[in-house]
Amino acid sequence: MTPALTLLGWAVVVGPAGTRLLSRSARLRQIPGTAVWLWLGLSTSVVIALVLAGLALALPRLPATATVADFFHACASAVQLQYSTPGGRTASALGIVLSLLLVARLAFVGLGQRRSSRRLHSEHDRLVTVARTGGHPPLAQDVALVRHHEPAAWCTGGRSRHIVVTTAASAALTESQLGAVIEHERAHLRRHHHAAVTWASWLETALCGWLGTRRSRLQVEDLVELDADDAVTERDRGDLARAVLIMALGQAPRTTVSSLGATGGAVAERVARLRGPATASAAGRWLRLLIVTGVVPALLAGPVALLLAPGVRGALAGLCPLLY
Amino acid sequence: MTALGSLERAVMERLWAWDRPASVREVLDDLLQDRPLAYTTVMTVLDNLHRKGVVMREKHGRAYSYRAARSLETWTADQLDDVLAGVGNRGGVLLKFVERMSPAEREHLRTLMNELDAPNS
Repeated sequence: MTPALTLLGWAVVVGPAGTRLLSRSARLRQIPGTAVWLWLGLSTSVVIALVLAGLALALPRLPATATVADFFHACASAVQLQYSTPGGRTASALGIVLSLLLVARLAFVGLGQRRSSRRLHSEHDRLVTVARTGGHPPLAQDVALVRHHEPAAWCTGGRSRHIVVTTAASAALTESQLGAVIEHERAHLRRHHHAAVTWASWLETALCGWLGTRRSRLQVEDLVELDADDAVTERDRGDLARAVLIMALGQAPRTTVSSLGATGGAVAERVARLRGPATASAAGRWLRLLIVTGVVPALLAGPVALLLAPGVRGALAGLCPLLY
Repeated sequence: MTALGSLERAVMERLWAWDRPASVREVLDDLLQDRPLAYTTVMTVLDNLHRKGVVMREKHGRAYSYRAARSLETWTADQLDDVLAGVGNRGGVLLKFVERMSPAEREHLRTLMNELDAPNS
């Protein structure tokens, strides 16, 4: 029972406690691109731990255990004993059912997300084709200018990549501000931010937002904006800060309580960051290295290690217990 | 954003182009030039579009005639409104430069804008 409980504990403690800890860290906001990896690693780790917790319950009854023990020339009973549960067959059956259910839910949510994303993409492509202004000269080869009365810009990633700017935005911003906005959108596409948000959203939906997955998705959405802001040149940061405010104030007020996207606080944070210089301190570089090469791999490998550790201990024991 | 299916889109393209009421039979006859379809399939699609509010219908004798509830231009503008309001954007398909703000949040941002406009900022 212990490996299953340990893995369950990992999911229940590491997920929520980790999200609280990471949310409070101001340092992570200085390295948003790396922080995205950390948040995704945390949520993924929680899901892996849950799947493996069910598997750990089922392990004593799985023929694979004996095969693995054979491979290591170890005693199968010694390995299986490490995973034995008081629940016996019932607990094992329950474990495998729960693991399969979670994997099935992940697949179901992933496929649903893929289908709705395809639909949204093709609808958006048609929309851009119809709304694209014929008369204006194109802003840039990869930018579509669409007729709309609100200043806005967005981009779509994945199967059809578009950068879209409205006519109102083009009129409200200076040339250099517009250039900075387009650079920001290009950074989203170059750095595959859509994939990061999609991944976070997939895990959130699959786990119904529990165990920190909702907070993780919201943080990833904020962080990709900060990361794209950091992609513009030092010279353009002031222009981008002003463009953020012009666009936010030029759009209609939000009438519904939306869980999606940036809040006013996040926009204010973006402006404050952009008004300061872009600094990549030595400490920041070390933190980046530590997260990418140490923390994220540890988060992903941790649940696997917790699952395997008792088995390895049993295999190394060398003695075969007498089972009655 | 109201995503239309491929058949819904094909039906709407005809209604937008004709800009007049059309019966199920008329729509079907035109669609048959591209692909084989049953009368009931087109009737169901138009019924669904009516339920979604995309088309209006009037009874003529025993059959309904359908027309687009909004012109293609108005539909497009409404769809863009939905994009800006974040409707239907789940799963990171669209990343917007800034989201719409609540009135209270806008007040805060206005203060920031004034700071930015101040001569010594």
